[in-house]
Amino acid sequence: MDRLRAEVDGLRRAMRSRAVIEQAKGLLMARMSCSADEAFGHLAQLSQHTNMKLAEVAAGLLGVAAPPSSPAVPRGGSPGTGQTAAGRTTAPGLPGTESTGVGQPGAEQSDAGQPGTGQPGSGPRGGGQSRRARAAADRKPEGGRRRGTAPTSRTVPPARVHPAEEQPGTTRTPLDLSSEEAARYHLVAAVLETADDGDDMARLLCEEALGSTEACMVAIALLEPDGALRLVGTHGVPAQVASQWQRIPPQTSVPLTDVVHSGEPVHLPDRAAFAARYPQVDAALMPGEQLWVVPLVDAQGATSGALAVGWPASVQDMSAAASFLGALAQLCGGAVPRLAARTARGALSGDEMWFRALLDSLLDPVLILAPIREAGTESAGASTPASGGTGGDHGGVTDFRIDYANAATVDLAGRTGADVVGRRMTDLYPGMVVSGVFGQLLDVQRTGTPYEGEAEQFIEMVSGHLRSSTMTLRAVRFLDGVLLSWRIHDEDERRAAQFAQAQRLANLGTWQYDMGTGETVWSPEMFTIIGLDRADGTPGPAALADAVAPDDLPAVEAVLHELLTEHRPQTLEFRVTRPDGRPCTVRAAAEAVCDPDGEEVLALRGVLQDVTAWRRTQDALADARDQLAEERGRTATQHAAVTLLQRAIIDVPPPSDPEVMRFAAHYVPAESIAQVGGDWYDRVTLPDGRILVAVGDVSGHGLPAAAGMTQVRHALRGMAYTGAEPAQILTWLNRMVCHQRSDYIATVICALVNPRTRTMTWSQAGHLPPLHVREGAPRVLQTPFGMVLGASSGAAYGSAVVDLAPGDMVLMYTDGLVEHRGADLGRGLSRLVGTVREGCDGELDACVEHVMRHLGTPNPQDDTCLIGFQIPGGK
Amino acid sequence: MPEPYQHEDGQEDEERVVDADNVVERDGWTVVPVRGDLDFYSAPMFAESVRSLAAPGPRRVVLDLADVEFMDSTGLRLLLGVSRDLREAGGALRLAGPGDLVLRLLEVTQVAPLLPAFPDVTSACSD
Repeated sequence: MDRLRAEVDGLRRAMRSRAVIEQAKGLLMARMSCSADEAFGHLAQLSQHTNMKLAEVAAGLLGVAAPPSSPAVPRGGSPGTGQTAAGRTTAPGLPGTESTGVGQPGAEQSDAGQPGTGQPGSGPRGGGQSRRARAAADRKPEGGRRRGTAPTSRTVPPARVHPAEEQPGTTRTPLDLSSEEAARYHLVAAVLETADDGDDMARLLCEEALGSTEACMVAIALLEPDGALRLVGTHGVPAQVASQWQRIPPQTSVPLTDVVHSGEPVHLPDRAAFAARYPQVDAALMPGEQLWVVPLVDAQGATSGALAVGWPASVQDMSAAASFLGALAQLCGGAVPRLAARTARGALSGDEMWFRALLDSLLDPVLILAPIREAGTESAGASTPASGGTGGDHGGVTDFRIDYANAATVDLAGRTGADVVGRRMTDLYPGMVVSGVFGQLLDVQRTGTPYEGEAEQFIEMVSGHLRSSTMTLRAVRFLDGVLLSWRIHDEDERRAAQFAQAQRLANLGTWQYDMGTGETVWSPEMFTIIGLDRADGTPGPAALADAVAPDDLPAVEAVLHELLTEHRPQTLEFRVTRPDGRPCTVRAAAEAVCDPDGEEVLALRGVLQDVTAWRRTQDALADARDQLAEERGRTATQHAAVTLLQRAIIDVPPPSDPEVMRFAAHYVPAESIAQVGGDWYDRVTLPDGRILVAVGDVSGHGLPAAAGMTQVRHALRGMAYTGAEPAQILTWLNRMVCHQRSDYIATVICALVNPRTRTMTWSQAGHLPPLHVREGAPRVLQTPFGMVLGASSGAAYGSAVVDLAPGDMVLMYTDGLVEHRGADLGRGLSRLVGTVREGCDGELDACVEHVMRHLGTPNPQDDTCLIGFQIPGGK
Repeated sequence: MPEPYQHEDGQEDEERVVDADNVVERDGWTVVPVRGDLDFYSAPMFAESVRSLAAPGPRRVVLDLADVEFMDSTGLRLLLGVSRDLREAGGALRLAGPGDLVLRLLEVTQVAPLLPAFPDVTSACSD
């Protein structure tokens, strides 16, 4: 067994060195115009002559050819430009970028004049640097000059050129690595990409990169979105300690956190120095006598974590190691995220998947803004021309980068998510900086106090033209950044957009086929789902058959036959062959419209839902659930996220026409963490003038409930827009929930209020009955039949009509209001009726407030939701 | 909050929802005693136990709910799922001795046709 493991380890090491050897071969081939075999021959010869391992020779050769540029530890210098360029210079050394890895070094070196005869240690030379150095110089004369001098022409002797003792610990030192370091650097660059996990990476750094310095400990920590540090890998650290320090809160002052906050490296020559600087911390925490901690830098130049290295007491002062460690930190900063991607299911990815999936189902644009911290205020001031008039100190945050933009994102300039992600707020929205709103965002990040703007005029310059629109902006702190959402106030525009979005979000299309005329009518969404161009017109039945995946065609035909002969509604899930080849699974519900005798089918109609993404979301949620089970420490954040989401999802704007109908809603999320349930409500004016009022409850708590809630709510809204009656809507909705064998059931009341006739037509699915309040007297409405959604696909739904007089109110609620654990549900309902009788003889708002005051104590177990509407007028 | 996870941590017997040791066969029905709360937290364990008990073939199962004090919508969903699975396999599910709270939940959600309830085990196992 052990022998087998040793063999595997040996193989793995061989694979790692091979990357370097291949690169060195490529370089030789390009520069000596020789074959691969000849190049390998050269390498082997060198290896023999120098008595070095082949891999080391190769690494040395690469080091000679393209030494790392001064991979400065991040300073105040403009990270957006200089750091990126520096980061890129490492690319040729990384097997991760295979295509450039072999080709580019040779190409870049073609102007270097002297073909490398491959003597390791003949000194760094970097023709490839000059172009970038010039580019950098354009922006940053001082840095550029520094960078320009070293690599271009001077030949550096094998010994260290810049005794770093001159400026110990500073990172402004021009960083020419010794040739030996340069060789190590390249070897490490190659092997880091092969690390199995964080600990493996720490081991590689310790043994391969720093082994010659006798380093005894390496720890890699990454900055988490909430500001804490997570240990992603350690070597030489006792497991007990590594386990205890898995997550380090930002408030803890230890070398790792200090380095991340300041962006400056920390060097502690001995334990006495450690004890002096960190009196609270046991100096024996990190093994070793001498400690160097340097910041990790990601590809964008932002500080992403820290790298700590320890040496035993036997090692002399390592002050001079600053430059080499800086270079390693940069490699590491680039390699760690790739490692996370490679080893799938990084701790964060699960969260991001579900969170983004949910954001995508919202109707309003939402941006996740990640803070950009720029140490050194002078350069921060330069790159963000105006941080508003709010002063400089925002905990170091000077700007935001858009990390994610949900599907609904369209900004004032018409840019969608893809256009804005990765860009800076100050670049995208200079108007916000001028108006001071940007300053508000910084305040939100700093204080955690949400910003809820009034409707205000926003102006942005769009390709030379000023565009303005009235918008309401809302921002809340999310983890370490900000969640920003807005809504445009143009009623018509919004309503049309909402309809399209509701259909789009639920991926729901409607269709009808007239048997007599053979005419087919499709909603626009149908074209999107099937992948056809609307301009080509609605396809006939034959063309449609082509769209069904061949394997599923018999099933579709069987269902059609059943529909035509039995006239019973049908549902079916099948795959669609889209012209663009994108895989697509749809769920179809269809029914036959018969003549009054029920004999002849006049038309077929139904809805079609693209469930491809839903399936993916389900998978993502399953992953997220696994993650949840593993990561209990994060529950507080998740509770906040779910609550926030729920608020965002059920955020319903006040009616723009209170003279037609008043509306009030009160919603209290469950008191205890992660109990937040799936309560939701909706109110929207439909194109025909009727008003949809709906309330519902999805079983379960937390994320799955939130996902079910968005699904049901959006699908219901989309169906309501088709003009269908409540009973029909619930029938469709139930068939969908059943057919997808969802892991939830859902209760719902769906009511359509006609303000002209003052009637409410409503249906329900297993929900508690609404109260009809006339002149202060409540009446529990008789519920039409209708089973909870998701119980049985054959369930039927009745409906009832209520005549409303001016002043009448209707109250709907979820079980959190009347049901407390251990108490009887029936008694809860009587209590509600009693409470309403005492204090609802007047305005709706007062009534809802009265009820919530008496019954709406936060229920620790469940959400509490109460909504109501009132017909204006009356006494 | 970590309540739901306590189950996974293997909290002992009192957390167990299905009393697997006291399952009995009676007049062709498998009577499964259930106790405690049938809710969001006990759901995973409940589903697992019932699935293993009712596993092979067209079983006819009576869930004895006399000792169930609380059931929420997640619990209801599970009962519906078990009922559906049994029905599709040619079996059946009945509830015996549900308390007022459970009865009220069945009534509000109008699922009585899918989950027939009987006052006690004896009446549930008749016929």
